[in-house]
Amino acid sequence: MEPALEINKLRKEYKDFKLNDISLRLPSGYIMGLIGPNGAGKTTLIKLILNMTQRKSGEIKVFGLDNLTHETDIRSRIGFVHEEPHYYSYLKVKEIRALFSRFYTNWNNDLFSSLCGEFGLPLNKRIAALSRGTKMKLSLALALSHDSDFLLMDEPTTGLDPVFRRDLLRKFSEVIQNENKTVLFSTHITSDLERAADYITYIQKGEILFSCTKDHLFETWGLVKGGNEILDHESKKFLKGVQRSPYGFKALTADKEKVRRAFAGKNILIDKPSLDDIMFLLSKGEINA
Amino acid sequence: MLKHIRRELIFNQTQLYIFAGYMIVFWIWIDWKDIPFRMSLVFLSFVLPLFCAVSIQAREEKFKAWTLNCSLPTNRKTLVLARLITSWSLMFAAYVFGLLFSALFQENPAFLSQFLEPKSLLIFLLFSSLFLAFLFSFVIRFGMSGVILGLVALQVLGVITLLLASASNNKDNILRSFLHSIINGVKFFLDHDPTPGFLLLLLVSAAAVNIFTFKFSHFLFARRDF
Repeated sequence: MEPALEINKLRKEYKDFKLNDISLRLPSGYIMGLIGPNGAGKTTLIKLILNMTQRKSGEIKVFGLDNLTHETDIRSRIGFVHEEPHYYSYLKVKEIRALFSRFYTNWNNDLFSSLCGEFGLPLNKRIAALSRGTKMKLSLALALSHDSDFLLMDEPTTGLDPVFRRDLLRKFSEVIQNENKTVLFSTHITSDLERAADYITYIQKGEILFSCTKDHLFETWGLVKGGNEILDHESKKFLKGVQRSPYGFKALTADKEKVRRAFAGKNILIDKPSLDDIMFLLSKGEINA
Repeated sequence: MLKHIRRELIFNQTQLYIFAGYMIVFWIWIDWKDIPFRMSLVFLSFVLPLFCAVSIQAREEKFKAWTLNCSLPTNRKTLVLARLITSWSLMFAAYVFGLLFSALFQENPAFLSQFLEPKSLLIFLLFSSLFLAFLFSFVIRFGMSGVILGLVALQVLGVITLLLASASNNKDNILRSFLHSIINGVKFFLDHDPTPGFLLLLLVSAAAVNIFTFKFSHFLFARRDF
């Protein structure tokens, strides 16, 4: 089966930032979480997939189709949620619905009404009167109501209360019960990824540091702790984001077996890292306290 | 295309109410001040593109609607074409409104008879197309602040040109010749007999300008990041 998303050597340059040779692959029927610090390039990557931003070079294929030549077809199969939903504030929810329904051939009015009920969206209320979280819910309802094969969401859980966030993550899981549906979402909230994602892609300063299944990540990556005396130039080759303190060091490894072998006979502890640990240590880099 | 035009109209409905109000005031002013038809036509040809191209864009930027529009299942070519067609639809609606308003309230019969001439419509079409060509392409690429800067720069350039032209008494002054050629060009169109060939020339010129506007605007818009 064609992967839902395939990106090869994608480049985008701004004056002060660039996405550098991004390559990743997301098979159909899975949820991928995109994490990284602010300004890492998550939103730019999502906009490039939708061709809302012009790339410098590289290739993006969605459902096996080039996203430049099949722009309209691809967008009709994508449910997109922007990090800041932009709607004209004087329009009512039902007017936005009327507008969207004409653009999507698979639009399902009953589903939209049902989601509005579920999400507590008032059809007759103007956008201006909705809170940020409710606007995000509207955006989600719109994205889910046209039977999209691919949900592409930029920080969809931001601004939502914890209860709704959990409900939403459950909804993602429901969506991909249909094997043809795929979800890609960016977030800062790592617990959301631990709960829902099958694949995790970490992006930092415009580069992908890893993109793999969550299971693989937790099987192979480790949080290494030990005394400062065992850290030398050679051993640091196996470690990332080393943080020293007077009490010892803490670092990440992408291959805990290799580290076990390299530090054999030395007093180290290898724990399972949380996504928070990974994000924190990778984004901070080496720290000597 | 209809769904796109509908989207434009729904998204810009507040602007349309303001536009309608402005048109009523405009025609009352024309009638009240007894502005000659030729002058009214020139005013109209500049006011309508300005309103259609610029003020709608201002709303768009306020609500960042291009981001939403560019995420819908469509392409930028269609978005540009829809905007151009909507702008022309509004401009024609405003023209027809002016015609009806004049038929009802204009006391000068010559004004209405001139208004009804096909030549008037075609001159409006050509002049508006020329002004829209500049505004539309500029605004779609550089946004509202860009077009304001562009208009201010044009105005400053105009003032400097006028000052330089009046500073010299030399009849061969190149700036004077340039300004006279513009005035003569406008007079040529306004005074020319409405022969079929001339009307066809107006129509073909306006069509060519609009095709250029569309192609150039799309070229610029396709390079814009959202």
